[in-house]
Amino acid sequence: MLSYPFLLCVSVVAGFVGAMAGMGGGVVLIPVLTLCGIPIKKAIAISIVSVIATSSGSASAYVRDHLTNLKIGMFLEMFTIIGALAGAAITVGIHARWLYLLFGLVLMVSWMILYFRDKEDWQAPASQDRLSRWLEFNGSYPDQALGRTVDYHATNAAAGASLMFGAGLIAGLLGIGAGSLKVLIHDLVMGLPPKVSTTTSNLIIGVTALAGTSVYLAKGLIDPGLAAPVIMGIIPGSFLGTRLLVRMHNQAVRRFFLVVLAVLGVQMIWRGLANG
Amino acid sequence: MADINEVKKEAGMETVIGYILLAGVLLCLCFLVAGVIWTWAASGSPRINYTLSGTNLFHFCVENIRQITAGRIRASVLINIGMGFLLITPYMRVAASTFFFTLVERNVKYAFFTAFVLAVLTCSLFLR
Repeated sequence: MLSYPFLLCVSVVAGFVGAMAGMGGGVVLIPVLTLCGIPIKKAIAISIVSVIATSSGSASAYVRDHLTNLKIGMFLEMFTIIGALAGAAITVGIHARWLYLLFGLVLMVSWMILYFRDKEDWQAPASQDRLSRWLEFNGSYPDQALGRTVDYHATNAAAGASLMFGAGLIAGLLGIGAGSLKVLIHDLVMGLPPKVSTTTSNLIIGVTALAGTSVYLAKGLIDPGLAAPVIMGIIPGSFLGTRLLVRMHNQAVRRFFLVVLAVLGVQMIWRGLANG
Repeated sequence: MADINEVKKEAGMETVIGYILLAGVLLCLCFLVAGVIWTWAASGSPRINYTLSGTNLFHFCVENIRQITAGRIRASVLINIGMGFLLITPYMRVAASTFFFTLVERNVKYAFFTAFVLAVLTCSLFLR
């Protein structure tokens, strides 16, 4: 049985890691909860509620610091919420083993894309397609590490939107916020600077998680007795992570992100196979 | 290029959204902490043993508000209120965005996008 202090500590760490990497915290929380004997579907339901807390806590600071691109976030939300509703509906129906395997697979794919991509620092996309221009996908943000305001524009709105449906599907399915995938789509497909992509992803995660939560709430999978300490731990954790992210350089965020993805991906796949 | 007025309006929206998110999270935290401390003081253990049967957010909120107005305040009601604040926070954020894009910025595209998100969320939160 889980002790309250242990659950609180795990949640503080999950919130911290989630905010640092723009992942939402679920990637740490779900493996730990399942290791403690909680059924994976229940762990997913608790995680997706905690993801709302992490996302809202971090996003409140990012939005006020002008790091988030609200328009890009709000456009992409249309696609992630539909995906999240579909994903949560699938989770309710499928065998737990598939959830472990999918969880591990999503983490490993994210890791591979990040590892094998160009190691250079972020490069702005040279041009902007017509749809992205029509959608007003541009902005600027204050970069504390560089000590100046950086102007940017995003491109590939159509590809970004369809991939976001997939990210939303995974978020609802696995209760993880899928921030890692959203950040990848923002970075690699749409050409957003890493800090803007991480913080915009954080904003989208909250609404996406709420859509998924509605399904889990309707199915009675949310346990307030477990959710309460998790939320109480994850909020201070995410505040700490947020403060650190604003001060750190892009490469440091990325390296940290790589280690977390690798460790968690391997252990979830191993458990999925062992479960069979 | 966006003109100065538009930039100012967007900064105003950023501030409002930032504070909605912050207020939601802090209120949630206060109620959860109060509920857990109450449980701890009453039973000697912070563990709360109850589960929610299938419900939807609006029904869940109304039910708990009814408990409070009837004077039946218990630890579990405080925890439920905390959860309710958390779940309603992103919803309020989308509602505020819809309001801004429709009435303040008068940006038809984004008024439509945010209204769509609000409509889908409203329907899903009525799921039972």
